[in-house]
Amino acid sequence: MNTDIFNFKRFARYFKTDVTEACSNYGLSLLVMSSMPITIAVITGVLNVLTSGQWESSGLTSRILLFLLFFIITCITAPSKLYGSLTDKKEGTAFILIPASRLEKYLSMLIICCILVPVLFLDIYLALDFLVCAIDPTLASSDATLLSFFHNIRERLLHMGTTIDWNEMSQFIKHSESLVKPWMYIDDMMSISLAFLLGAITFKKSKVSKTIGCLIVISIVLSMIATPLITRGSHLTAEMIEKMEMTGVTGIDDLIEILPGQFWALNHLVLIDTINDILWIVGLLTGIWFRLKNMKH
Amino acid sequence: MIRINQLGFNYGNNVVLKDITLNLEEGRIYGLLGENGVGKTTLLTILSGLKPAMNGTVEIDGRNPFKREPSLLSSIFYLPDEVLPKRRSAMAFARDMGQYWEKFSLEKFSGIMDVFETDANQRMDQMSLGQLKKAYISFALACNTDYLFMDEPTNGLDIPSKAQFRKAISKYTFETATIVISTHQARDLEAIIDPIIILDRKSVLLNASTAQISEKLYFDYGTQIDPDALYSELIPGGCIQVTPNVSGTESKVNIEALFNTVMKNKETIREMFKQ
Repeated sequence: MNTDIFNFKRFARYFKTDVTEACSNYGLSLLVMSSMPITIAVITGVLNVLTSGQWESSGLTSRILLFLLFFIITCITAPSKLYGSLTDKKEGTAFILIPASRLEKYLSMLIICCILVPVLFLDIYLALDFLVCAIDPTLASSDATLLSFFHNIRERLLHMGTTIDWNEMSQFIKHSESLVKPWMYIDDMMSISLAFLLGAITFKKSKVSKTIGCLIVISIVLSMIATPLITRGSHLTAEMIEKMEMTGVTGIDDLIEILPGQFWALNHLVLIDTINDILWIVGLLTGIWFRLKNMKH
Repeated sequence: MIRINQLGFNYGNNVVLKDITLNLEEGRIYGLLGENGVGKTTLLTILSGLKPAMNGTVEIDGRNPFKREPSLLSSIFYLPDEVLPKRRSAMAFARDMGQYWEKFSLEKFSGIMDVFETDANQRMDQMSLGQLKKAYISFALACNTDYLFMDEPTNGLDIPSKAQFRKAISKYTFETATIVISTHQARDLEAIIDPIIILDRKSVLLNASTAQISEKLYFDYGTQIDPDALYSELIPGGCIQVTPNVSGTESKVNIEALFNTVMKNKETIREMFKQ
């Protein structure tokens, strides 16, 4: 391979420099965010002691919700903390002029934002949650940890699937096994990180809020385009309603049976979601590449 | 070798560079002079690959700097006017970043920091502006690049540091390097820059060595003002005036007087130095 495009040794050197910079710029923030299980346990415990006189920690459900909240906040804010300064003249100039190829800088950026930061966050957060559960007597149960919850989530959902009377459920629920495949969540997480990375290196100020604004606008436009495509542009006609009245519609499954064309999207939920995520990721990766290519100072 | 051919650049409707044609040869320290806003910094950023040429071409060793190929970037160092205070010591910064420039020498970096009497182990974000500038100048020179572009390097330096800067440039740049220094403080660098490039809004007014300048212009440090002088200025103890050198007498080029002469007699100077 042309060494001006990619050189493994130079990439390793650049990645090391980039990680060092990331630790210096974002290490403490990441540590604070991923140490939230301890903060939450202490705050909840102290509040409970003050109000009811007993030490009691948060239950699993609230800890799951808080975990998701902090995880999303980390994915949203990390790119702007790590690479947001590239829109600044001094930082951007220094970045551009480092003699490493665009591909090397791009890969390093993606690895740090989409792999290193989420993985470190998850590892530290789940480990500290495990530690809190091990120390806290009110959480002394092996099922109380987030780790065991996520470890068993697939089995739990599948178990839920076996207890369902499928004849009573709408067809799209039948795809629940596919819905718990881990990659579906990994690509969602990647989409979030990539979108906010693109925002971080594009907008000069209010990077996060402007990115959220753009995502809302894009989602509205896409749903306006996608809805007629998914429903194949047709609506319930008088003829269809008459047919439904004649056959007697009692649930969504009957509706799907009568109007298969209109509800094919429900039957292909996983496929549509996957295609949607792939298109988003490819689009965002391309956007970041071209932003780096055309960055000027 | 740097070849700039009919280079054009504008910020929106504001044309900054227009039809700039220059060849910059190796082994020279070019002084890039011009009034505010004539595009000196823009020219340096285009040469460094930070901006693309909007019109015309810029080639460094036959390559377009905006492609930002690592092999070309490692032969260039651009020192901007405003430098970045990193959260680590200058030595750690130099050790880490120096790896990217093949000819970088840590000993040379330490040596130049010593010339500047600046502690290389001090954190960069705790340095004064002048100290920070000196750390970056040391790093720039220690990279031993073939092309070194400096934008206002003496800004923020105190009087002794300016002398140290001249010493460092003379001692630590190697003979084949092409150095371009943009400055408003012509007197600081009078002794080291040669040739001199003076940019006007949208064009090159002068690109000549001090020998060529002294051959064409005579710098008279006398007491009587010549009414036919291209430029004259009263200074303590007399005056300085610039006249066409009809007698072929050699004189010491005064860059400030030269700059003012060029600005006052653009067409005359252009004609005089037409090659």
